[in-house]
Amino acid sequence: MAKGERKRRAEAALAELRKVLGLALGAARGARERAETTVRQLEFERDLRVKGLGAAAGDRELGERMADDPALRQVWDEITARRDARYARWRTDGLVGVHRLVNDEAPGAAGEPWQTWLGQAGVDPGVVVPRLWRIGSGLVEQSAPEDAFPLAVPLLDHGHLRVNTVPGARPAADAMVEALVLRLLSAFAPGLVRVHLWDVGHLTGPLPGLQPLTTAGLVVVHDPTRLDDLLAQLAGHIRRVHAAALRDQQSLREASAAAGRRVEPWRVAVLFGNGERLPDEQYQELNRIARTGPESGVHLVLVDMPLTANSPVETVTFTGPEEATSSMTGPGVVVTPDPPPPASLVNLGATTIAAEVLVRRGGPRQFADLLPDTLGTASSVDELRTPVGFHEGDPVEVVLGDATPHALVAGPSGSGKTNFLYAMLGGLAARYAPSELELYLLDFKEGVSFAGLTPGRKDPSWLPQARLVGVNVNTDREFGLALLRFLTEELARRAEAAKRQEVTKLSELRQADPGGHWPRIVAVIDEFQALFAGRDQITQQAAALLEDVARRGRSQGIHLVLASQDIAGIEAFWGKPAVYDQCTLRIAMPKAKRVLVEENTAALSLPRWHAVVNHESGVAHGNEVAHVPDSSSRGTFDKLQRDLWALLNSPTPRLFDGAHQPELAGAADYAAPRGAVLGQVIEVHDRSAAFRIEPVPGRNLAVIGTATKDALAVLESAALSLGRVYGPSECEFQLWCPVKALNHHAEALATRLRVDGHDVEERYGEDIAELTEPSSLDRRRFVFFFAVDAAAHLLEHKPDPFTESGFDRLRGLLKKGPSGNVHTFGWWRGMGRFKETLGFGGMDDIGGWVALDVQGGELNTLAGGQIVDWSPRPHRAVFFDRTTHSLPEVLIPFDTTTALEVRP
Amino acid sequence: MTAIPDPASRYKAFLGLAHEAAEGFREEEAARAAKLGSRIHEAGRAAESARKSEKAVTEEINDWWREVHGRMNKAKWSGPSPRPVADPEADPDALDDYLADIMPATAAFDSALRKAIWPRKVQ
Repeated sequence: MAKGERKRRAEAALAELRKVLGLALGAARGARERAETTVRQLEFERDLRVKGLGAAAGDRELGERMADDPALRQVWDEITARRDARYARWRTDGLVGVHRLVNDEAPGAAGEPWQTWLGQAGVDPGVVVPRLWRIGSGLVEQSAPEDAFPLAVPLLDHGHLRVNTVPGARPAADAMVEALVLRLLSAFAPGLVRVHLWDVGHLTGPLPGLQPLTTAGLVVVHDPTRLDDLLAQLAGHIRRVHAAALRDQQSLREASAAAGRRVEPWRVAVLFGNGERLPDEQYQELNRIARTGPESGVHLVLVDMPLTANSPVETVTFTGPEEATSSMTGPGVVVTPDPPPPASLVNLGATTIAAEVLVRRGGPRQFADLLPDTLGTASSVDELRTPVGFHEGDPVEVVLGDATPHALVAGPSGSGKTNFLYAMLGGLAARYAPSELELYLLDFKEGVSFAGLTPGRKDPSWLPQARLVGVNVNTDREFGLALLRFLTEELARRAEAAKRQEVTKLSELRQADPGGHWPRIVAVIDEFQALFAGRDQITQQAAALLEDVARRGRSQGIHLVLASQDIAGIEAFWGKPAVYDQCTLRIAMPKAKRVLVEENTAALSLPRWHAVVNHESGVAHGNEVAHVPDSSSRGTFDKLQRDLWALLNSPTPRLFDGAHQPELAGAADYAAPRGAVLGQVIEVHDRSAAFRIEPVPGRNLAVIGTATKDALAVLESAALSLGRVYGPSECEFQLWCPVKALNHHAEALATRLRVDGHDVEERYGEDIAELTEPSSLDRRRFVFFFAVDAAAHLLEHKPDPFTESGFDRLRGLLKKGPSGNVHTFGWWRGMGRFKETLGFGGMDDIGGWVALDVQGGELNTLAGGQIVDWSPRPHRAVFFDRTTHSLPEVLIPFDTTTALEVRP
Repeated sequence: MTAIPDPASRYKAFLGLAHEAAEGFREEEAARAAKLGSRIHEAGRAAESARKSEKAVTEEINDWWREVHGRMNKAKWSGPSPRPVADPEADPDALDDYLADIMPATAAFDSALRKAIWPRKVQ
């Protein structure tokens, strides 16, 4: 082998050796590097775990390390691969399912981005309600951003939302709530969602973007200091909806489905607290609302307001300025509120909805809006119900029924009490025909004039349901008493009928006796406290009767509406708690005091033409504030009355006007008298006091007093009515009048009687003293002796000591005359003269008397020793018939002008 | 008939899949995390051992090479020969094999060198 070749082989062997050595060196280094890489990777994994996978994903330093070191990236990739393997089912089933679910259950404004709905008023009638409402998005921790899914919560008809914040998160929470409220408002036809805003820290209220909605009443901002009122309002609403559901035997949802539209708007109260628990009472009330509200369409959105867990509430808890967790998603899911719409668009959207509401309402509500589509078709079997005003465009009703049998209405002068009563009466009359409702209306103090409800000279119509209208009853408390007496008699009649039918309530009686006439009766007594004005028998009787009607009226369908202008009306109840307590329906006009419970001050801040309607005995949670439309101007109630009058048949209501003397010619009892008609009795029905004429001792009548016009009216009424009872062949009249100034009255009476064919003898001079003898015939003789006292000088005359004086003979006439068909109607202008005329024992011969301006104390001896409770007042008299009366009764002398007229 | 759950319940049921996954992942990772400390410790020891091993191998090979290089330099015709460098292609797991190859390779080199400088005696 050549030397060169050997050298080359040696060098090759060296190279081979170097290679082997290089491999050994490389393997040693590689082993070291691999071990060190393992350490780095494990330490990196430890760092990742310390950081958390979610946080690590966004961590810049870790990201840089991974970028610099593929071995570390490998660690990350391995972990995320394991994670992705675990979450594979969530991604394929869960994530897709959530998207699909929210898409289906949160349609339209409930779930879509604001760009598709903000600025448009909804048209949905609210029968089908989205089950979920989007408020943001969620992302499972460690997920990729593209795996975000919508966060939606149940709300309307199902639950509430509670939001807890941390410092710095309030703006995001506000924006989230505002967006949610906008979704609610935009999802349905305007008006179907009402929002109440309350913020413990803001006088002007939270969510300023929604302010335009306040003008339409869709958003109401509440005073930070008046949370009580708001909670009471919500609680009251829940009670009312619940009561309606019980009554109608269907839930609000069912009722809405049946009606094809939401029948009661949702109330969403958005309350911003400060994280502290409310005072006990408010806290408990809030929890009650939370538990029971959803069924009644009342929902809470609570921001930093603690609440117990036992109510259907979903929670969003902010953990940072823009991040939160949610009870809907559970742990491990990061919730982010949706980006809020631009403020200008929020404002525009709110303005659009508000404008749409105003357009739909068609301006302020009017009296016509209180009326039903068809008049007089409702049934009063169970109750009487009518709207009397509106709250935020919705009708506010009053109900007279089992739960609220009687009403108490209070409001100072000028507060709109009259208007309210007209609104209520109009609403009732428009709904219930006379067979379903009868009205008895009484006004004590000229506060409310019900006179227009009866036929007048200009307007012949009357309110068909009105059976009695009493006006100007100022001093005639007896009339109020008479009404109460009538009502108790009607109560007794109904109770008896119910007993016969073996039922207890009016509704049952009407079912058992469908052919019977059992309307509900509403008795309105304005300034009712006048009934209790004196310490007398009227007050005692009125109190007893009122309590009786108040207690028993409920079951028999007799309802009282007691109205008062001032505090005196309420004070009148002191000592009569039964009446006050039974008036569970309270109506407070602006500034009305005490009609609501002491701590309920809602009436103090009421604007004009508004009323607090409270069916809960005045407790705050029963408050419903109503704007009462103008119901008393021309073209409102009067038009309704004319329409009803033309539509419904009904008898003319009785009008009792205390300021006007009733006409004898118009009196029912004058048309077919049963005796000597003396005057109108103060009673519910048109009844006259009549003095019975029988041929028995004592059937003479005395009129006592100086009130000439009234005394003449009594005598004229008696004479004219007797002239009707008895034909010319059955009676004759003698008119004696010693007072020249009064002669023409006697002459006019005589003329009128003669026109009717009667024989009349007139005496104006000394012939009066001749008196008359008992009639021997069947023909009765009626002696009307005007101003007996003025004939004293004639009657005293005694030709000699052994002959009888005129007085003696007059006593004899009074004593023996009646049994001989001679009846004397004498008028004495003073009690002393009267007693002097009768002498000792002569009182027995006066069977009846009518006292005019004579004090009650002077009359005691004429009434069998009873105390006569009577104080003289103009154009009023008191009548006592010893054979029929236990107590004297007040009567109103008739106006005889028409009856005396002689027509050619 | 089973009533259809309400949407909120269905929503939460879907999220249940995420929670289930999270739970499984959390358990798995927790198990790993529990061992991580001891693994780091062991890896640290292994790395230390590898560093020592590398150092020892390097020193030994350097010495070895110096000796081989010295023998090579006895040949008058030999030129400069660079030191062996770590071969990045080397398999760390084959270190022992590489080390075992050194002796035969050295023997082969010695034999080739002897023949190349023959008859001069190689010491």
